[in-house]
Amino acid sequence: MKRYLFITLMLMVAVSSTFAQATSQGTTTPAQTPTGQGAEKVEGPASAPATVTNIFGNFINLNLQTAGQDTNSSKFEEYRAVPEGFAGPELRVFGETTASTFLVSAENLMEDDRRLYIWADSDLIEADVLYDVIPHKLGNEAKSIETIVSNQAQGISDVIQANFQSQLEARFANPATRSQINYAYLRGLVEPLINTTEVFDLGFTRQRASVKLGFMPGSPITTTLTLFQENRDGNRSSGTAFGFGNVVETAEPIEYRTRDVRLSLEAPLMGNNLLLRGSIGVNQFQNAVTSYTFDNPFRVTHSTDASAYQAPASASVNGAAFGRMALPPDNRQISGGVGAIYKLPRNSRLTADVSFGRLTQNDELLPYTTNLAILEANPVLGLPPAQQFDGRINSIGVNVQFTSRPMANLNLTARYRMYDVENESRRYDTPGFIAFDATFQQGDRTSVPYGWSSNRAEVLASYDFNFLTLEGGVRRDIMERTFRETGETTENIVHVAADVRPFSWMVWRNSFEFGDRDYDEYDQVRGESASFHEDEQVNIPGLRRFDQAKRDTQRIVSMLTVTPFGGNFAVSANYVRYFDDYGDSSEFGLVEWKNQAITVDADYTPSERWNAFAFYANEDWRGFQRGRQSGATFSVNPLDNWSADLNDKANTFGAGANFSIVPEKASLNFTGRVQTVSGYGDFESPPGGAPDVAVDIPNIDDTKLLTFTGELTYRLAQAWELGLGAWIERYKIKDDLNTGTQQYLPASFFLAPNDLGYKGSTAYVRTTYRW
Amino acid sequence: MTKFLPWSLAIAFLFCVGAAMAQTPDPQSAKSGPGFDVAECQSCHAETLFTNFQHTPHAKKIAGSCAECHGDVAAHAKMKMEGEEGIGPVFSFKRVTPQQRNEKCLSCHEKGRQANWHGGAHDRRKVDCTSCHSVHFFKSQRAQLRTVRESETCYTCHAQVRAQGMRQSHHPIREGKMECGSCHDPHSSTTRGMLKAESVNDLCYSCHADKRGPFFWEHAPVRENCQHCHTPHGSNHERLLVAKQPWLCQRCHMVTRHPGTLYHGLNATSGPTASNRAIEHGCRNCHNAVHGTNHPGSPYLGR
Repeated sequence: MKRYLFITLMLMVAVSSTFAQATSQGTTTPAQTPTGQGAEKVEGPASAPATVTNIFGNFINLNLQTAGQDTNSSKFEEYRAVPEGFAGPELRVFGETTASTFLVSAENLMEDDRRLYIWADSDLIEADVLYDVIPHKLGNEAKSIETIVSNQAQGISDVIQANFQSQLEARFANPATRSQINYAYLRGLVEPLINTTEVFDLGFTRQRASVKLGFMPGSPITTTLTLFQENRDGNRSSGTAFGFGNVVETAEPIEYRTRDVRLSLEAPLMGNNLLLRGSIGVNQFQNAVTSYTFDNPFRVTHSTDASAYQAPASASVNGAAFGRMALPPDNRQISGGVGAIYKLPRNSRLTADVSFGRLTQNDELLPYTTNLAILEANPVLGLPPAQQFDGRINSIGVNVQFTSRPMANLNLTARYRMYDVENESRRYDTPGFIAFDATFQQGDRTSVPYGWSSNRAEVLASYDFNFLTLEGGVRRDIMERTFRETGETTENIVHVAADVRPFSWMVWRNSFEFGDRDYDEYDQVRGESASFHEDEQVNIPGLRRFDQAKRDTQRIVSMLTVTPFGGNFAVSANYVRYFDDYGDSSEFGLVEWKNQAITVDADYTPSERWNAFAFYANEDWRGFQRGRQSGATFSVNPLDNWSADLNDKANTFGAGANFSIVPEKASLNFTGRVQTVSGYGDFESPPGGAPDVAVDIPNIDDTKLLTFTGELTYRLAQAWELGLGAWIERYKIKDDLNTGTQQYLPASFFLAPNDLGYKGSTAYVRTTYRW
Repeated sequence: MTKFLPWSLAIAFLFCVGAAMAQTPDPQSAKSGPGFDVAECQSCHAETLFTNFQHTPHAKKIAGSCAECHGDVAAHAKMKMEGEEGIGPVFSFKRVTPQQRNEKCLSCHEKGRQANWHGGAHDRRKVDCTSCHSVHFFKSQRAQLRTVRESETCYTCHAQVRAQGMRQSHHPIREGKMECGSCHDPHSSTTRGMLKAESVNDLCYSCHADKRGPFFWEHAPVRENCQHCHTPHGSNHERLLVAKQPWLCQRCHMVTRHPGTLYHGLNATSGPTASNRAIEHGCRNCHNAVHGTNHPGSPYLGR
């Protein structure tokens, strides 16, 4: 790992030093003010690019800014840094020497979201170097009852655990008080623990560096070597439970390293009529933390019984003293491919590509359980089924495509694609299932390496009339899956498109797709129950999993663009409708899924002095599903049926303008956007059944995001520019399932971080020097 | 058989490369247009040429630069100097069909990603190179796009994706840390959705290699397609999910006891009967390892 990092850094240093040398000889270019039609800036005051964005002008700028928000929500800085005081700098240097051309671009070099991009080319080599830091803040002020001892262990004081255990065992021992082990009692018990918890932020940072080298760029043979490394460090929330009655959310450590090396070549042959290409690469993922342990707040010693997975409750107060969570294992992928494009007469091309991949994972397997009481009773669980996993997946892809334009107005396309994922991971027999390290449920199982393959064939033809292009085609998708309910699903899709251009300033594109998917048979026992040694019903009869269910699909896209008045004014209106209907076969499960959107964009540029733009989007997302509630056995009572109609409606509006107040001297630009999402959970259930009367959730997914940015720029002298800007953001969220979460709720300890609404704002003065 | 396939392909590839290197460069690739270069055309077309264009390979590395793309500029200049109307025999990108524009660009650029242009959705729908790129008036740092940021170019037509990007759960596109081109190749004709990988999962693994496995206990739809559960352009559900938990999981899991139970308004955080199967992360409060696990005792992905 260090070797890759070292090589990367050395390359960056070498390229940078070349730039530094060349800068002194570089040419200067006059600055320009782009019209900025419809251009939106990268969000965030620290990320605010210069108003004058002539990328080939050399400049450096620095912000002096003030920033703040009314709460400490992580959402404000989810993927960005919003510093106070001096922020930036942003730097761009473009230059050339007699032998090379280069560009150095840097953003927020002093910040937690810094980015450095270097490009250079010469007759010998073209280099593309990127260093990028991407923060991902997931929640501030998380409150865990577990103290983080190391990256592999989190814990609670033994004294506290022993105290809670003894109190619970005493209460459980007395039949009169056993039934009082409920939320009210437990809340009172854990209240002192909650009040003494540590507070920390959830999130991680990606540090990425990539170097792409193209050798002999002027040569007909293209040779490219790409090196990549990413370090991910931090944490995220993890659902770590000791039973249905004892969820303990913890912070999962993240210490990932991903490295990738790839070589690709491309060569023209036969007078450029044949293009050969190929690549091969290795991608390695390493996780420094294989697993981590966490304490059960209610037990200091291990114990078990058949109901311990419900503890602490009136049924049991047993369970493990601590649990262990497996984290993503190290793995490696080798992949590559070869291909060719052959030019045929009549504007025809035959393309063929073959790709392969091999994915391997051989990490050590964890023990079956941490619970010594289970191990004492079941010595067979003392060792994992193997020391290491021995997992591997091979994939092969084949693409063959023929395109032709035998006449000026006729286009033909035919393609075939096969992709096969063969999971050759070793299968292991296990003696049963350990529920939350609390209860061993005996029953032989075998691990199931899922695989699949797809075959797709498509034929398309289009013909251009003078103002009308008509296109038609058919596609057939066949999916085969191993260890799934269906052996094969087949989808036939008809595609029709019509593009109309009645005037030079008007384009109306329309496309329609209608699909019909069917399966050979749907056998629930063949599904995930493949892991059971005896047939087991794993789903209610009548449920069809939506990835394999019979389905009718509609895809409608209509897009109208008009640019009258010589192109100064452009309006575009789109209509999109995606509809999947599973109703023919799915009594339960997903029945309908719909997405419908209408968007309108407008841009007006009457002169080089100013332009304005606006956009609006209305979206409707809906998923309708049905279920039936069961107890210990599958219900056959229709009164136990229920349905959930989950709907999100989103309205987005944005507008902005750019003004050149005094050409080459002063400019003003601003952008505002607002999005409102209103969700609704509409539940139905007939009275008298097990769910009885369902209650809707009116506040689900409700958010409102408002942003406004504005900047006034003034050129003080040829080399100096001053910018005065502000940035305001308002975010609201109301979700009855996710907002208002307290640290301890029935049967659950939550981290309850602040990732909620906020009011954030920034004002800054930017100084820019150009040379 | 499959064990030897990668090596066979690698050897075949090396053989082909060797054959390619033995070829003599095509003399046609060094063709040049008649007369006139950038400086001469600039006398009339200063606005077109005295821009970022002058620093690009188009201006610096192509002999007879203007003529290379615009044809007989000498005849055009002679015509104009003699006061004739029209543009003469020059190739004007504004006056030809999208396919003619594309053919002109592809005469040099039909390699790399662009080699797959023919037959793709953009090609078939008459989107042409100049719809997104501008040789003379580009604004982007890379690829000479018409807009400062790549995603703005795509939003010109794919407007709904811009709205999805404003959702509370989103990839860092609006923050400038990703672009549409991070996942899509607009020149491609061989993969669905113009993805830059052989499959959806292979693409997602390039940033989320921790989800790659293979695992001791797997989750079948996860192995097949990340998009069964995630929607990459933006969502108001946590972690870019297509629907909220537990109902997302209940689309496939309708077993006895809790998987088939209806969770509804009474189970909200504010109610007296809040359920840890509905609030916060729903099913994932217990079944955290939904992408797979190496824990042999956890077929239900709880550890």
